[in-house]
Amino acid sequence: MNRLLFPLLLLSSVLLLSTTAPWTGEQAWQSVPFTPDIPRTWDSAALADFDLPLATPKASPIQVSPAYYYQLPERVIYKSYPVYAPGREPKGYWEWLHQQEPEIIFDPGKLKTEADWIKAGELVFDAPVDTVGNVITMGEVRGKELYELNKTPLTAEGIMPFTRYVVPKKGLVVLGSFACAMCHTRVMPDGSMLKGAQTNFPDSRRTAFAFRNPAVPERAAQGLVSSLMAAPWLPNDPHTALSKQSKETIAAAIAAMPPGVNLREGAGILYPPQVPSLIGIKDQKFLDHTGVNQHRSIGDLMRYAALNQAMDMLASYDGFIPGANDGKTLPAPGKAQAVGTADRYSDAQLYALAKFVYALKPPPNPNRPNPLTKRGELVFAEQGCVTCHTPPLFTNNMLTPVDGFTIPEAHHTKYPIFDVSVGTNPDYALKTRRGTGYYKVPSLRGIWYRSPFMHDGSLATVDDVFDPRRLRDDYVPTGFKRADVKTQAVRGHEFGMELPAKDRQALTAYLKTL
Amino acid sequence: MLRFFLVCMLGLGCIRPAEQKTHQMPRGVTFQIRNAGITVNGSFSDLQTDIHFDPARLTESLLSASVGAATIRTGISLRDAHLQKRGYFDTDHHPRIRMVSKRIQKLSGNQFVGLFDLTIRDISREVELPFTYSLTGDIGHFRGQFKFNRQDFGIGTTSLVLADDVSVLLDVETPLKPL
Repeated sequence: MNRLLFPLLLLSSVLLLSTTAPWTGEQAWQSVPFTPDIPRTWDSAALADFDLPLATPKASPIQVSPAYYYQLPERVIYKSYPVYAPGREPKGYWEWLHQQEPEIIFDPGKLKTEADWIKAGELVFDAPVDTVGNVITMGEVRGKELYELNKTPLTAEGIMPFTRYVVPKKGLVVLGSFACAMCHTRVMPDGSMLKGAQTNFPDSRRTAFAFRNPAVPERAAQGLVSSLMAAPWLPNDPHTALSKQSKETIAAAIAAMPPGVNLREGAGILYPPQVPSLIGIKDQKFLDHTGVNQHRSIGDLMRYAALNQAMDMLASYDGFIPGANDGKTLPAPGKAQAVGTADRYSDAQLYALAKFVYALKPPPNPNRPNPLTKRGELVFAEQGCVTCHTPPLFTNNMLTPVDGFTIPEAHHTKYPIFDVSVGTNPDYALKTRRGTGYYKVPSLRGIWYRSPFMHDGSLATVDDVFDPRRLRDDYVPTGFKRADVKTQAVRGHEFGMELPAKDRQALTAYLKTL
Repeated sequence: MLRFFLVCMLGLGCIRPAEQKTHQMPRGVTFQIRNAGITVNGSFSDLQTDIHFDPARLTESLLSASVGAATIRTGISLRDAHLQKRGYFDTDHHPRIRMVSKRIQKLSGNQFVGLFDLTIRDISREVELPFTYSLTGDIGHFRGQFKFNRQDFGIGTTSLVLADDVSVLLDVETPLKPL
């Protein structure tokens, strides 16, 4: 096994897109005959400006060519089935699964209406990219540790919705993972499943638990850090340094990420990203916390899905190719060994997926306007929150530079920039393969059903965001906290902290109505 | 002749709730703008004046003044910082906001109206400023109010929440210079 294979196979990363969604009044027009105009995903012209330059421009990714991309075989999407927690599986379910015929369920020729495409997109959203246990194993989901030690949430039916069973051949049931659904599905307090939302799957803790298995060699954990996170062009790259540490040190670093914060390729373990909600993403102009990709059209969302599942592992970052066996030589098409790099979604699959994501709707908000929220709305305006979190999207769709980054002159005319730093931790934006030197202004819509907050998920609740104690060095973050520290100030975005308690309460109440 | 100043402007300013309730504007150069349904108050400082004013010799009078664009204060420091950037006042390149009289007429008593060139970001537009004047010793007290459209000066862009019209209040005591 080469040096990258095992670690990458262990990886659990990221993904995208999701969800479920009641159709509301759009159902009628979605039912008329529909002929999609499917963009070419790996289009050279569109790709040229798709990526923002990195904070270290010479390291900006050079993606694989269209010729390479389209030589990759298309993914086949089989029908998949829910995974139940031990003791919750319906009687005879496992045996029933073994009697099922394999069924290829994505067939663009059968899609006649826009609603058909959206439904098909949900199938893509749920479709595992890994079906050989490289990311999560069958043993994990059928054992007890995932649920008892790592506290994986379950739906009311006992379903663990972050992975699926797949039947690629009659009599063969495999575990599928690394679907968009893995990181963008949330189990709600009432036991319902909300597709598209920030996940609450404790995947990082699961990964750390798996690493601590004595059977996992130290070099596997080290290789994972190196291939997923290294930014070797940086002097004293922290993740290159971490990749040389012991397996236990690495596992501890990964375990520090709470549910809703992810071990995401190209991001960081030391500065991980909060998983964003996909609900409402259609209105957002940039993707990823660092705005590393533009979102100008449905084609860009298709590109983003392809890139993050996982073509970005084959990009060249100043000569460093994370998914290459030797870190620098692009494997022949279809021969790369990292999860998701040997095949690709078809353009039709990606189009359907993007249509599904665009169709996602938030769940009914139980927080209704009342006198307290009305007061909070006024406080929101008085405090100037509207400048960045501008209604109705509650984002101005701009990029804010981080401390330590100088905005290149050309960016002022090329990108919408709110050229003041809000002082949050800049490391993710400066020291990773997704680091553009900016954070995008996030939308506040839907914060009532998601957490944790801030770009690194360091704060568990909205109240914590307004708590002035978080600025102190003796603060214990309620969300992500690096494993190597006991306390850690969460600085930046220091708004609303001096409000009287009543106004702060009102502001929080208002925000939860969005 | 006199000079005077005034100026001001805008932005995304902001105001503290207590200030909103009293509607009391401090002396100096202040402004108001509607933002997200509320009135935001702000101010400029570093006022520099060159005032040559004699109510009996208006054609010879000149009012000229400027404020430091980077002195904008709206009650929220990050917003103030943003207003100084190139999308708004671009204070690195345009550090002063200027107002210079072109013509002054008497209305009645101590009431006057002046036509001024208001210059922000190197863009000049004429504005009409009605004002009152009183004299204590050699200190003139000028008080007036006018409006302008921020987009005429390239201050920000069309916004769903920020109004275009900015109301500027000048309440300035300044020494007079001879004509």
